Amino acid sequence: MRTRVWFVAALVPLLCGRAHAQTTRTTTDDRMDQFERRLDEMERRHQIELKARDEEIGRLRAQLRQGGGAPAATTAPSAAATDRSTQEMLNEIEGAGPTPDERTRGEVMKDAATRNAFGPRTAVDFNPGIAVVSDFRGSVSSRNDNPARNRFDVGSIELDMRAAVAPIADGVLILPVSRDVDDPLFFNRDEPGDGAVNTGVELEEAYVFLHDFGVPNLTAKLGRFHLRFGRQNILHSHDWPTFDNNFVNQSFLGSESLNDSGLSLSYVVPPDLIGDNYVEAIVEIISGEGNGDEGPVLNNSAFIDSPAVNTHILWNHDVARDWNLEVGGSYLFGKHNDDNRQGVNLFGADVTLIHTDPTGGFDNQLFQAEAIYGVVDTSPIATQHSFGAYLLAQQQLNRDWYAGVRLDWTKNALDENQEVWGVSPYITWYYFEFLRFRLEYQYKAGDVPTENNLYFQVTWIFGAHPPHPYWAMR
Amino acid sequence: MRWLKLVVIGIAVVASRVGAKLNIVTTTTDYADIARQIGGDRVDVHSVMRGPENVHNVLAKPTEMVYLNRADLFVHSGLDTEPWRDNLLRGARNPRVNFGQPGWVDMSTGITLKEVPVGKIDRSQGDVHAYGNPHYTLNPQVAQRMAVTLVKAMIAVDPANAGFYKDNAKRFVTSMAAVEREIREKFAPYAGLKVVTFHNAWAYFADAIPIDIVGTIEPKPAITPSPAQVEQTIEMMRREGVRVVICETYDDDRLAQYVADKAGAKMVVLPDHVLGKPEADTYQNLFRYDTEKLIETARAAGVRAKSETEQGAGNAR
Repeated sequence: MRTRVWFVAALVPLLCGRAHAQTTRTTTDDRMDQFERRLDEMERRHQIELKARDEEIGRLRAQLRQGGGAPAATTAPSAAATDRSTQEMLNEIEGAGPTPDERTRGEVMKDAATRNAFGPRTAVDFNPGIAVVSDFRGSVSSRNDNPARNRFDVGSIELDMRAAVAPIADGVLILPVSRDVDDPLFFNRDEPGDGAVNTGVELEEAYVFLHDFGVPNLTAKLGRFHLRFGRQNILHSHDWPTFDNNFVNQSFLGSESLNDSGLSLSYVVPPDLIGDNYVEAIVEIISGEGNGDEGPVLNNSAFIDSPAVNTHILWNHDVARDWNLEVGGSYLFGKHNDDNRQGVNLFGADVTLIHTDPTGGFDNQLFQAEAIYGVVDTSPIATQHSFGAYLLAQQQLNRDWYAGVRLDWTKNALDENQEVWGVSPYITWYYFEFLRFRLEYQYKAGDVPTENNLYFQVTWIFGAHPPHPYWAMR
Repeated sequence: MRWLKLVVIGIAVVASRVGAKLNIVTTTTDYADIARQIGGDRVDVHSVMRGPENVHNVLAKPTEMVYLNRADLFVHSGLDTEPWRDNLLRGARNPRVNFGQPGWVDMSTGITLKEVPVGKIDRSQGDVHAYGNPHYTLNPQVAQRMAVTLVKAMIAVDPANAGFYKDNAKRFVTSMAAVEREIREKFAPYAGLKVVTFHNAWAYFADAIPIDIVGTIEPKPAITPSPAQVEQTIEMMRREGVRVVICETYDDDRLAQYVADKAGAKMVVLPDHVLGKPEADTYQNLFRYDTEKLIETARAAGVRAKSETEQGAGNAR
């Protein structure tokens, strides 16, 4: 009988979770439910307070049995051994209750004044955190017939704005103003570009991020965003560890990234259920438009009847004290053209391995690899089966210097008979968190004209830029 | 019937909590040590930082989010010390520890901050901290205040163990008072010792023991000095008679050694957080270790204790 009671009691929290989820979906009984929850909360607090009081009584009785009204010498500090400020703090601890202190306005003001927290408040205080990221890019190439590789210019100015829009949601807006020249991965010497500079403003990302809407461990983005396909596609271009995007992402996803509009749901599996592992599953339902004309495989002009779906799952684990491993898998399906007769299926795998210096120094290493296999219909009767991958290794040399190399090999997602490969060693120097210089050499060959490229990049940021991804080592 | 169900549910939830340990995640090892000393075996404590690394540059890996996902308390500096904190918090998906909740514990509460910028601030001042110098943990009195803040938060979410937490918190506060007296007395013969530090992390420590920080190797926070700036620091040290250089565990000790050698001083690597060195395994031992190493370095650099100086002067007479 006792076992059965505990079994029922153990099931009850689960039922509670289900009941709670269903209740929140309805609106008719909301007020009643709130009232009940408040009563439950009061009851819970009351029980806890009773228990605390019982324990306190028990403790005092035990002290009396030991023959004195004062606390035992081993547990109570001697007043004589403490100075005045210490005594004040001891008194404060003694007076601490189960509910947070009600501080007076004067106390709050005094405390806040020491940290310069209070000034005259105006509507301006509700402005978002704004950062401006500028990417100055220069390149020199052995191929003079590629106009994109023999120029220097401000590649892009990115405006990054973020702010809370509600207790449960943040808004994010990324607006890059770019100046670039067409630079296809599979450069065709028979059709050299005209070198015209394209200047424009893009809507790279604009979404509302719902971080706490009542379902445990679930978050959502709604709007336009970078797809969670692989590891580097979510990065803005200035966050890449190298000068340019890796070749396989360029071939399958886009010259910079694959962005689209829709809904992105992200769920972290409760760690308790899976041996304290971190497993995150993402499902994204998007328009399928991709990057429009610039998208290599996903570009259906956003017809409502042909959305695309992207899924990603990742597992992150500390494989040793100083080694962190992340393994991910992605699958995207959608349409390649407007009449929905040409399909796109992309399969991705990614691995990131990080070693951190156990001494707290700068001897940190990063290894990262991604691979994509694509099945893309390029006409009603032709299907391309292409594959590509990159491998990145980076060593931090000291506080400010990083060196690395990226190895690329990929087939053309739209032509399985065409391939390109490259080797790109680089060195990065941070003068400071917000001012970075990078020099990179790239050897590029395959079914494209062989190129020896030298890249130079200066990236500077001002404003309230959010933290970089954890593996950026910065 | 519905009422009955809710009551049963409430009892079950309370029953499931009884006996459960309080889960505490801290950004630094300092807060973790206070939490362990107060919570004893009734808390599970995890620190994102391990000790020797730079608190400003900790990798907020997803594995850390696993701990924060189930945390009852998230203990942090409250300032812009941990720029990685927001990534961690967003990834953890634990509304109990979000800003404004009882599980959000701002350890800067009640602490008078030093070097609070006045007027316009921008990046021409380096990695300037908008709220003031955030390295406030390096002071025993501040540690006492942090213990008060933390024990209140612990009691608020776990009132059943209030008596236990209070006893231990009082013991910690008393212990830190004793440590403060101990290191101050021990360091008294070297009061006024002039030092140069690599990073501006020791301002609060200088309130605990009387060292005179005459400059930093970094010309501005987080800016690596140019050769010319290094030379200026060396010149300044010679001019001021600085004999000791303090380098934090995460900063460039080779550059610090170079500066010390050129200026005729001695360099010592000191932890500014618990577990920055294995010997600094508790908050109390952090201060003891730093003080002892500082005295050792001062002696090695030829700085004589005040009593020795007075004795020498007496002998000369």
